[in-house]
Amino acid sequence: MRATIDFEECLKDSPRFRQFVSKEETDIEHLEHRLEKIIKLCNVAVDSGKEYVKNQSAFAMSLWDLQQHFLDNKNAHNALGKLIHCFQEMNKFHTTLLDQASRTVLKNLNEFVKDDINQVKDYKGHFLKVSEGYDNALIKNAQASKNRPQEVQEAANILSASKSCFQHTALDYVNYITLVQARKGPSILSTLLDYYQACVTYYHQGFDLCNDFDEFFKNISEDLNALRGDYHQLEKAMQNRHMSVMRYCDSNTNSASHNVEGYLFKKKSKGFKTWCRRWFYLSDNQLVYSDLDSNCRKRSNEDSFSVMEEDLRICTVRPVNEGDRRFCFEVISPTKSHILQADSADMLSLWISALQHSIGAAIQHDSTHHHSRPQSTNAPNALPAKRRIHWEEFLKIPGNAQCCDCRGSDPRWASINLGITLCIECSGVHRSLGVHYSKVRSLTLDAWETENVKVMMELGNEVVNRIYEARIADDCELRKPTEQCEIGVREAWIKAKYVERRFVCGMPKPQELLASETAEVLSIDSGGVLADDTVEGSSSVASGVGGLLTGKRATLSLGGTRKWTVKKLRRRRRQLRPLPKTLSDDPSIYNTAKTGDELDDDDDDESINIPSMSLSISRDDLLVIGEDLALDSYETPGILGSDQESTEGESDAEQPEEVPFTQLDANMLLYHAAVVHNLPVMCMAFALGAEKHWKNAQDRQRSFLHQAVISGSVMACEYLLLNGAAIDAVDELGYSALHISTAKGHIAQVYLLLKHKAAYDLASSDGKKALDIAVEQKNADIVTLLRLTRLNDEIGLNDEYNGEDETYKDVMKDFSNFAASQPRMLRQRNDSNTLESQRSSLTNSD
Amino acid sequence: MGAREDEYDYLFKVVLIGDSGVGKSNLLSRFTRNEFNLESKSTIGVEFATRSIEVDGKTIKAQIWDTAGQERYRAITSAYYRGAVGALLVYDIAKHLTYENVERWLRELRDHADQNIVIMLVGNKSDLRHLRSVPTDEAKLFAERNGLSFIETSALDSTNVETAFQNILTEIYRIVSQKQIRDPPEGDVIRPSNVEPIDVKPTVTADVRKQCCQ
Repeated sequence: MRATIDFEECLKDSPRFRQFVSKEETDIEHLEHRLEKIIKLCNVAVDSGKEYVKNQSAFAMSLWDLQQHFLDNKNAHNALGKLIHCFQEMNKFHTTLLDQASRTVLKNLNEFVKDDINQVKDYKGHFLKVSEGYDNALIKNAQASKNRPQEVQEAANILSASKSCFQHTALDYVNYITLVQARKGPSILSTLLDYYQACVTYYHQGFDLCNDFDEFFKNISEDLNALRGDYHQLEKAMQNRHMSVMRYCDSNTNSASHNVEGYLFKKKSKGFKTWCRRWFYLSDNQLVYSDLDSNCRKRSNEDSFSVMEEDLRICTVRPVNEGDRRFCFEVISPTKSHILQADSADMLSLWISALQHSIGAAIQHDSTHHHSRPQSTNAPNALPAKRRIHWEEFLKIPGNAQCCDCRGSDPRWASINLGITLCIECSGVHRSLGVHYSKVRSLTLDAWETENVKVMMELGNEVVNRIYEARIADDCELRKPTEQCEIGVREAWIKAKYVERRFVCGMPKPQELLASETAEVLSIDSGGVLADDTVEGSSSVASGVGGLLTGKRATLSLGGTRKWTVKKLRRRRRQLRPLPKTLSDDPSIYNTAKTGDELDDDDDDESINIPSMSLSISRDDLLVIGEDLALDSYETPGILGSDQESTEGESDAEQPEEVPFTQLDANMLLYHAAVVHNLPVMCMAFALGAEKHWKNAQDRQRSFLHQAVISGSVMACEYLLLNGAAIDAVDELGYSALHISTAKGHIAQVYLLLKHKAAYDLASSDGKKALDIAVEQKNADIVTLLRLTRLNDEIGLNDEYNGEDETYKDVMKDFSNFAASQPRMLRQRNDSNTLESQRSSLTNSD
Repeated sequence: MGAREDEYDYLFKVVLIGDSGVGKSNLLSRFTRNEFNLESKSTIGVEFATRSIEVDGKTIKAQIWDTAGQERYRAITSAYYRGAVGALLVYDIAKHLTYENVERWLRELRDHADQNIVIMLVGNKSDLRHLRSVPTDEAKLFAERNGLSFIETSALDSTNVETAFQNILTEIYRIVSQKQIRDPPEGDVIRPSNVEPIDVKPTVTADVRKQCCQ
């Protein structure tokens, strides 16, 4: 307890009193200064605390960003999440603490200073004034003259009044001072105690929080030890990194490895003849390089691998000594030559020997699939495989696993216009027939164009033999060739089969009516999937192929109301009309060739055991030709991806047109089959003797090719062109196929026709050339194709070295790739470009 | 052009690119046929023309691809740039937007064209002095910064058209006849240890570039 002053002393106004007052005053002043300093510092602490919390939470936020980095590492992602959560909780606690600090320390102390101390100070002024008044009264009283009793009396009155006032004031002042002095202790202490409590709470909360996470983080630190162990192992393994340089060099130079891959400098063949460094490797008999240069900068925005040589078997390799650069070698194929440069003499000889070995191996192991590239399954490297077709896929088409003529196994050749596979002996016979009968290609050695692949896809040995070997039983004097038979047998057979067409099926004939004799004409074909009719069709196929055509011909006496139509061939489901059943809504069935929903369409149709080839009556009076040529669903070979089916990019023709039977002949059959691009029926029509130069007098003198172009089908065009259709045939308006495909905006067809050297300068009756139409329609792609082709021809005329310009070939290849891989995109480009003009286009053929 | 251009020593493909309406087709017709058409239509796809000039006694045949500036009249982009050794990037000095789009065209060149393609920035319609919205100095500075040659032309009054083509073809000729370009220009980062450094003499590209806009 500090000393207080006796009230007596106050009343006496003794020096002790004055001393006490001044001592207390300084003491309080001192206290005030201290407190102000504390408040200031506390303010600073709270502010900096807030700043700290702010930065902390920014730090936590940045950890969130970091966490995103560990998306692939679930454990780390988790642990980080927990840690961040922890930090954020801690931050929250800290914010509360700071809040408490400002609420307790700052608020209370401020109040103390402002209210209590200031009260004392205020009262001090009052006390001083009263004290002065008392002094004055004393002086006046002392000065009062005894001769003036009135004056004395007055002074005495004043004195007594001011004395009493002074005494009261002094007592009050002492009271204030004493109270403040007495209160400062508890007040300050309780404030700080509050703050301390806040701190306790803060740490307590923290402790609880840590307790909660304790186990989790303990586990993490255990994991960490394991990870550290892993890291040390890895580090140790990495210490041997320089060994790999030695090993790499050794293996590079010594090993007889033929799986060479690595960087080579490649000399560009056009433009600036510059050298660029590319990653080369051998894959599947091809020399392939990556379009990424060694800085991983992408040059083109298409695929990242280019095939330099498609088939090493037709290439040779030789070192190049002329020229400035060392370690150069040349890869020569019949059409091109590439100069490549290795990094060293060792690498040069390694590459040359590897290439030579590859060439040798490829030729020897013609029949076995040759994997030169060890990791060819790696995703980024899978691209050549995607773009290119593996020849084995051809064998998956029904019947193609055996030679079409002698049934020999493992055919390696094909006739691209007939759409069949052949053994080497039979292919030789086919060659001797001449290209107007059979165009022979190697499955393994030749490069295949997309459109030829499409044709092969649609036909195949089984389909073709149903047509070309439909009536063998009738002709027995010829011996059927076998795998080992003599060449003469083969020759006789193949000639009879394809040139004389002795075994070809008969013209489709109408069948007796089986059910009610409705006169209505209805087409049942709803544009379904090729394989959809398998259940219905397979029974007819089974009987049709086996004992078929043994003469149980249908009578033809059934009246002129009978009509026929050609089954529309479309493997891909792209329904324009809703199907009766919702099965088609399920996207998963889009990929499978076989779906059952069309059966519902035909529910009430009698499935007929058809005695004659190519005959299937589905609605009473309508014959749909081609129903039974449609094959059982076979796994669509991986040749074309599901987004790239044979008929993709072809427009949806309308319902097949129905024609009276009086007009059924081979030409009309082909004419109508071309519209619906049904290749099997087209094949049948050719077998039945369709004339290549025939024009339909009833339909504006149009040719088969016109029809195929109108259908939008690339493969139907290709098939006709392969089989000798006249490319530049014009209709009565003077329009050629090129005119029409241009008018229709079918880029892929224009490309195909130009590739087959269609005459682009042909003017129609009203003087229009294809280019005029394209310009009218503002179809940039077709304009470019046409102008570029003309330019190329002009250069070709002027140049000594004839042959096509490299750039031209590249550009055309771009278009072809684009048309093959993204037909839909081309169509969209078309739509936006030319929709308007197409409306008013010259062809009103539909 | 009177005589047939049957013989030439070099054939260079040069593309004309730039926004629609900057006068690419007229530049081409002025250069190859000395024609100008105030009412020419938008180019669709691409148009071609050729003309031969002499450089150092060699005949150089320029095969010029005049491309569509308008997006919807453009064919597959990569076709334009395949095998091109030179590009005239044209803008209209009276239309600032066409100058702003130069960056976009440069990006397209980078994406599709040969790395060593010679690019000349061409400010066309220099006859429209009173309508000028792109200062010559600004364009010149931009060209310098991007390593392009620069020239202002007028297909209407023939100013500099001949010079522009002459300059770019000469530049290409210098580079191609030197045959000492490194590709890519910056050193490779990932290089196996056993690679011998390839000694490349400095190209003359830098020197030639300066010749263009005196």
